[in-house]
Amino acid sequence: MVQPLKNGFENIDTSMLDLAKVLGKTKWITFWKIIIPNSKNTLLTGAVLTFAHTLGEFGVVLMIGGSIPKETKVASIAIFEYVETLNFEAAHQYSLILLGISFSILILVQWITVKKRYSL
Amino acid sequence: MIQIAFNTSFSKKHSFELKVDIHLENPAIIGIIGDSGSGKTTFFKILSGLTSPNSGAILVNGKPWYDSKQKINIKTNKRSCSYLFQEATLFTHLTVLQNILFANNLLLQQEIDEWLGVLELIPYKNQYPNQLSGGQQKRVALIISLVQESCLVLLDEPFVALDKNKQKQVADLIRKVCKERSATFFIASHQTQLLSTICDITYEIKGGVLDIKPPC
Repeated sequence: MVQPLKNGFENIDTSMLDLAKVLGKTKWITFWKIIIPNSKNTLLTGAVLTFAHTLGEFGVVLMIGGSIPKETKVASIAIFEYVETLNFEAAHQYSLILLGISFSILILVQWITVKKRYSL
Repeated sequence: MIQIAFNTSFSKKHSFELKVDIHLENPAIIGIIGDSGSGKTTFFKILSGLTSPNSGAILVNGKPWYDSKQKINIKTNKRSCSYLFQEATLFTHLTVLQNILFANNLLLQQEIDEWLGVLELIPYKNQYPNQLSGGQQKRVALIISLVQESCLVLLDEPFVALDKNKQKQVADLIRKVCKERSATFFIASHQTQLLSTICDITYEIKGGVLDIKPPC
């Protein structure tokens, strides 16, 4: 999340920030009214990438949340458990769903990036 | 009253210096001419506080904006100063109307229409900057710098990208605003003839060690 945000903030036209200063705007107003609206795509990309990363997270989720069915059991843990119990059919189904979601997210990120490039 | 006296080296690559000494008792329209790269924009950036000089003092209406001896350097957003950038910067995510309201949210719709009407921009008020031509962007940026009630107005190349008619409209508008408001205008331009028709005084920046003085 941090890296896309950092890149997005760095790409904001500094002359707009200078103009905000000249117009007497505070740093806070400049952040909310200029920086954030001009970083919408960056924020969205960062959020989607973070979600995609979290979707496949395994170790931390298992360590902190455990594997309580219908409460803390996530798809990656379910796949692990099905493989351990040799239920490959269920593991394959979960894997296919995760693959579909991940692929959709990648397409979404790509679409946002292209849209941003053409809107400049 | 405006007193500006400072000294700065404005380029790390080149050893150019900008030395300025101006005393103004009354509001006026001041023209600044000089070759490209002579320091006109640097002069404006220093006045607006976007850049600091090496030494000197800037006093506007009795208030010190910058004083190297007393270590005073008022932030840009605290200075009563409007600045039309050379590249006509606008907020790209805001429409023309929203850009003007962001500059001065106390303006009434009728007042905004008057400003836009003078520079023939009413049909474009709901358009975004990237939908406007260079000249239209310049005129919107000019309105933004004029709608602020500042005591110092800095206009960097306000006539660039405008045809003769539009240049005259802009010149007339600047003259009108200066009369109505007790503000001092600094206008940097290469259009020396046009400047001479609207400016009370014209200064020139030239020489190795840059010095501002009235042209002969």
